[in-house]
Amino acid sequence: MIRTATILVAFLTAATALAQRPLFDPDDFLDPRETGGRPAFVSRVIIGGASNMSGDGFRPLGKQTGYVHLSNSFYWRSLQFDYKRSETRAVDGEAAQWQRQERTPVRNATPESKDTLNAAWYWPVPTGGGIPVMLRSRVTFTRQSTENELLTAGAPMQWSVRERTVALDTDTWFRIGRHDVFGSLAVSETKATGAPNGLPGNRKERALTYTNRFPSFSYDRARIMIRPTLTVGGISNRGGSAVNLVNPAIEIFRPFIRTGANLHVIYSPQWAVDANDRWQTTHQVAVYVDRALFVKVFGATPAR
Amino acid sequence: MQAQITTSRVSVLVTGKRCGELKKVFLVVNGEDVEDRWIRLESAGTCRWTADLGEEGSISTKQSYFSLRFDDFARTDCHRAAGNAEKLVAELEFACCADTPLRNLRVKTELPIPVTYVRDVRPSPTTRVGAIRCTEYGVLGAGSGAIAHTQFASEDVFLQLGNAVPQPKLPGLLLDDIVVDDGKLVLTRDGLVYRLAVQRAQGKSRTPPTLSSNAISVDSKKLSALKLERAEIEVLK
Repeated sequence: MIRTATILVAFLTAATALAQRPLFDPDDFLDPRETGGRPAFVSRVIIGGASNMSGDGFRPLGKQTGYVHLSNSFYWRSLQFDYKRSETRAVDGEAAQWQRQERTPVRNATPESKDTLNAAWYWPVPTGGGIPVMLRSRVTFTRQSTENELLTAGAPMQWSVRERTVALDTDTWFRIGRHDVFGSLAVSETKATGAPNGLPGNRKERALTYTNRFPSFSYDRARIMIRPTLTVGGISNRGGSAVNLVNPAIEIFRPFIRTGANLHVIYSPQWAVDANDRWQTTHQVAVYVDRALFVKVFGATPAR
Repeated sequence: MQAQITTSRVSVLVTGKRCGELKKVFLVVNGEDVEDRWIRLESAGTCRWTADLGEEGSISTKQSYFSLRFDDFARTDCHRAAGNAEKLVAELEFACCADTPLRNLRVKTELPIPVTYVRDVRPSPTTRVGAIRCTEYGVLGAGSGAIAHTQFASEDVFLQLGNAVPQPKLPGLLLDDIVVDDGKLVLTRDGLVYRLAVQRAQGKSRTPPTLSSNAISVDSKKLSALKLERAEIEVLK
């Protein structure tokens, strides 16, 4: 269990993802034109594992991580509301370990469930007479507590840290020639409080990121889609220039239409500047399956 | 003298080398693309055509838009008319003809369900004046129907499955990507859901590229409720 004290260089790298969605949170964009604005409710469960994951905006749990994520989305007219709950655990059942420097005490940090509330609205952008482009803006509020333990020579010290993140992200769209360029612009603020004086855990950080969403490729024989994205951004209280985060990702997506399950395999290397002005790299890999538990479009009477 | 007028008389000038070859020219008004709503124009000399839409067909040059269908070999982009207040006629000028493949499509569904379509038509780069981007739309008969004069180089044609009334602001299944010139494309219900997912992922559904699991679930639910077993899309010529 207790291995060599892990220096979680991702202390900072983890926080770089604050403005991003967790790797295991699948897309939930539903164009209101598809439902005619009728109310719709989708409940979905996600189960998977990851390596070096720092994408949940929390401290990494170690090399291998498992997670369960429950997502409930309600759509009505141009609005969307979500409640999501995530459980993330290290495979060996242990908490994350921290050691800022050699010869300093090791700190264990065990995250509790994370709760996320989203409110989103869809808005059409006119295309000068053609079919409008539908974009989405979203406000996200997340809350998560961490139980911390400092392993010292004497009795271990224990304390809780409460972390809250407020984020606003919006889709962007413009054209270069005949090509659409889609992206997402996100700002967020995370505040962690509750650590007693002299103990680690408290922090405040702001992030501004832009994610370019390239068109996906498909390989129809295997019925897979491959989606590349590229996120760049700046995070406060870091070294480096204005851009101190570079985070490409590639997602392989395989829907199994008949069973309603979808397989996701994601590789997402993350380069970020730490507090010592050094670029650090984290190679995140995530594999998960999502499946709808309940799907209902209210008032949908098929025209026959 | 140009002005914004309301009239039922339309005068059309067709430019281009092939304009003299035209035998049948049809006018599509305000995007109503159903073939029996096309208005056949009368020849008024070389490359000139006219029509009188009658009292019920009165149009405003400020708001109305038009496109043409030529015999069996081309369509045009969309234009607004210039009002000639002196002659009380709406004047239009189109270029003939885009040298890209023209296809007539036949769509069939099992079980028969209502199907509509929307065409998002781009202005032709060769057009000199007056071209606009527009949407045109039509209704297929229950379970089967045709979409005539498609030219994918200049338009996106979307199929809306299960809609009895066309919705010009709603995309659907993009046909440009999937029709096959040699033979018939048959898509099962699962195949349709997959194809819609691919087009969303490619950013072709007028939304940012998305791998939305919820959208897939809703598509699947919708097509199941319609009891759609399969759709066939065939190029007639």
